[in-house]
Amino acid sequence: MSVTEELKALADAYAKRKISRRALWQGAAALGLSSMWIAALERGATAAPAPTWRELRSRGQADKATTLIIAVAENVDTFDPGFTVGSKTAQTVLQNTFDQLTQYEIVEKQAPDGTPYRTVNTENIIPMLCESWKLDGADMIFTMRDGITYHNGDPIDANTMVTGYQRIFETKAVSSFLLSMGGAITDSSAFSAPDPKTFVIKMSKPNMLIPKCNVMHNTSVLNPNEMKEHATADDPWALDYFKNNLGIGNGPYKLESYKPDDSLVLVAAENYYGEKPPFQRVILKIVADATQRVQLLKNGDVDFATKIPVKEFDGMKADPNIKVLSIPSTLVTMLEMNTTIPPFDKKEVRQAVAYATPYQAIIDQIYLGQAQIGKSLVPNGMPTSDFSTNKYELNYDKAKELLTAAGYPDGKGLPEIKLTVRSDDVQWERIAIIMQDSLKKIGMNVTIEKLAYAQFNELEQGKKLQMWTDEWISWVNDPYYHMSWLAHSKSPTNYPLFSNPRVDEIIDQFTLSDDVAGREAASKEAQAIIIEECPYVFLCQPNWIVYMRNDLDGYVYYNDELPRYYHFRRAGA
Amino acid sequence: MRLLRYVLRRLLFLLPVLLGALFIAFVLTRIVPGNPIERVAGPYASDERVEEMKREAGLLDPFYVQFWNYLVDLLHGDMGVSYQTNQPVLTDLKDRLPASLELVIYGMMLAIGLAIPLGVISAVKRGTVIDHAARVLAVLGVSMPIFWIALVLLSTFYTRLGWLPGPAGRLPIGMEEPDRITGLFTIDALLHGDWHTFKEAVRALILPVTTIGLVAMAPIARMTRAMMIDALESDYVRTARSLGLPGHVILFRHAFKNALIPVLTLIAAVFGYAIGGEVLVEYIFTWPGLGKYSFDAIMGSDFPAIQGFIILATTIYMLIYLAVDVLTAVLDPRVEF
Repeated sequence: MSVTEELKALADAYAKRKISRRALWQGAAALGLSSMWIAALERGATAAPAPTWRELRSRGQADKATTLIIAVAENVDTFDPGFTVGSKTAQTVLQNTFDQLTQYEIVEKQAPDGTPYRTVNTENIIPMLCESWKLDGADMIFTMRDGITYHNGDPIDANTMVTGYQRIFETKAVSSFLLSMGGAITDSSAFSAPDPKTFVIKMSKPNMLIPKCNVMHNTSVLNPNEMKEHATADDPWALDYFKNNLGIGNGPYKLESYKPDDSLVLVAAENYYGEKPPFQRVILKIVADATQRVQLLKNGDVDFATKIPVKEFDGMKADPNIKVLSIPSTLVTMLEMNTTIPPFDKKEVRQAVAYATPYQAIIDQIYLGQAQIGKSLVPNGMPTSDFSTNKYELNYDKAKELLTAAGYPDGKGLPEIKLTVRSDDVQWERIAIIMQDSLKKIGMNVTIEKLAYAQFNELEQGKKLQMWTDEWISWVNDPYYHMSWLAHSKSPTNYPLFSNPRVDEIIDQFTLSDDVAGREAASKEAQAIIIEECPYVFLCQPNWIVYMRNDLDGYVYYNDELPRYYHFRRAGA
Repeated sequence: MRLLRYVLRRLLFLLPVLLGALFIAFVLTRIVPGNPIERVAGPYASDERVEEMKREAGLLDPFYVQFWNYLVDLLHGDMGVSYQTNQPVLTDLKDRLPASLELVIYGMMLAIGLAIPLGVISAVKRGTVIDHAARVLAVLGVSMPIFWIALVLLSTFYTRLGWLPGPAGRLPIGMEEPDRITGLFTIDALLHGDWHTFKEAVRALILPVTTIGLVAMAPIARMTRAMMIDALESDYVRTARSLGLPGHVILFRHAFKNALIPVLTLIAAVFGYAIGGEVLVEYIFTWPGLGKYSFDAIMGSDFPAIQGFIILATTIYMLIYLAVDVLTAVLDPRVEF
């Protein structure tokens, strides 16, 4: 009997005085409720399954063959290539919509588990916007390609590059810190165009480090005409405009739309000078919660997902529809200690911590085996990396000896120790718990403090933390670039406030140098000092793990971790 | 006329409350460590540059100067610019409010539509199977964390059964949204006569709305039941019975109307709770609303965004309480303005 029929029967019964009016109302109310449930259940049962790609295509919304869907974690913080530091989404969009002067050569490699993958050889810089380039003494000389333009047809020549690079210095953009490393370039007079086809960057000394900066998205050159259009007297470089608006690009893709907290859509640029990308459209769906990115990927709603916590590795690996690539990377995970805050002002205490660190347990339990051992500030995979002087391994006796030598036998007399971690990824807290447990065995009692990233950032950058965990990857794969940030006493990112005159001297001397052998020997010397002084405990080098649908091919791993969507294609397509 | 005067007086009262809430928000954000500038400046910026940027942003000014400047800007309709989105906070809030309203309004409609009949039936049929079932449902709704309900619903209806769309926001990925009239996709799609979009918007709403509905339903159902039982056992109901009034008159005109007054107040409180609980629901369902916005703002110490959200949330909350007070006055002739 349907709900209507039942209602009718109830009314009839009442009319014939078989039931009281009260019973009629009660029956009707109950029926009303249950009919809602039934209707809801029926709707659920007959509802079409989530639309498949075929259906979407028939509605003209998306075409699997030409549309790539990526789940990303964050909004865009700024579209200005000079100032992207936080959001990977912003960086990836810039990387895919702008070409740089040069790029790295792509090479095939094999992961430890035998899976082949494609990555870049950072020692071979090849042309991109330029036709060729060379080092001539302390000058970088680029010969520009003929006939290349921005997406709106405005031509790109050497003068365009001069304006773009001048903007970097005049606005104190992030990339100016990189290009001025070791005093290589001090102001915007270093950039010139003797003729429209030749762009020259004058450096203070011949070196192999600064050329690597010209492959980064931070050096993307904005369209000077567009810049002029939006410049004001107070803001000659149009900083305000480019914060919120992606400039007219010159890369394989252009931005079609951006809705914060929702999505970005990229489409292939019609007049791109290079090869047309296989995917016509790329939709970047912003999904803040990592678990939901995993679900969307597993269900086939997206093709590729970024920022997946390592704890998902086993589950993803077991899914026959998902392709997993676990690629050795130069990311270093570190336990850091402020060398000016007791008890870590004593070298022996820092070394004791290094001896009380369960390295293998961290690799196995936190990273599920998807990490390599890392034993030096300069990671494996970066030129001149040297683990040979690192003698730290889990040895509680040795750790206790060192604590005693520092004047804290069995941990007696140690001040309060706070181990601070970020709350944005659960791995940090889990590492902290393992460390807390292990340090207790040598009598070092540690309390764990979990902070939101903004609070953590403020304390870390203010050098106010006592002991904390963090990670670092250098986008320029050069040991001196890397050590300049992490080990030079004057670096703003030397958070442990490590200070060693010899290390400073080595970095100052060899950052800008083309003496390959001298650089290698000095780098090894500096690494040995840093290992001995122990401001950082090197926990491991976690792999870069990417997850995608099985039918997606072409991924290339860059050491800046940003995927270039123009390499992707459907398997078999 | 008296009602109108009352409403106006209450609206005027909104101002000091807003000022108080804002003051507390200001104090809390400035006391707790965390600062938006470090993130904007990035790790490579020198300490001097970070200080300079803080000074430019006015964050080194004394607290009362910052507060005063903010109030002056606010009076000019300027809520500042969010550090995370680089957009005026007012624009951000305007863009995101409809998404949240769509969730909360439908969620509360579902909750009230289920809770009140359920509460009334349980009270009338006290001790029966219906009563026990309703009470179990209510206890579950109160005791299950909202994010857990959301995850269970998702894993059942999206991952396992595939009946409903996943946590991909208000419409399927890549689908155009309807031209904005109200910003509520269901309403806008209907106004445009776009059935397809309407259907997809409803499908995307089912799971998050059910989550909010289930959680909000529980306390309302419990309160309705308790108040109905009180009312049914009261002297005036006994008197009414002895006078031989028909059962439905006693039930609805006497008992229910009296029981409804405290329930209304509770609904207002639950509405406020739903606005808060939304943060998790929006986060899990990738819903581009205020909940996620405020969460990101808090995590990133985005001061202007946090303050803007607090102003808006306080206003909404106060308006709901006002509406409930007016309704109470209409229902209960004893209430004087």
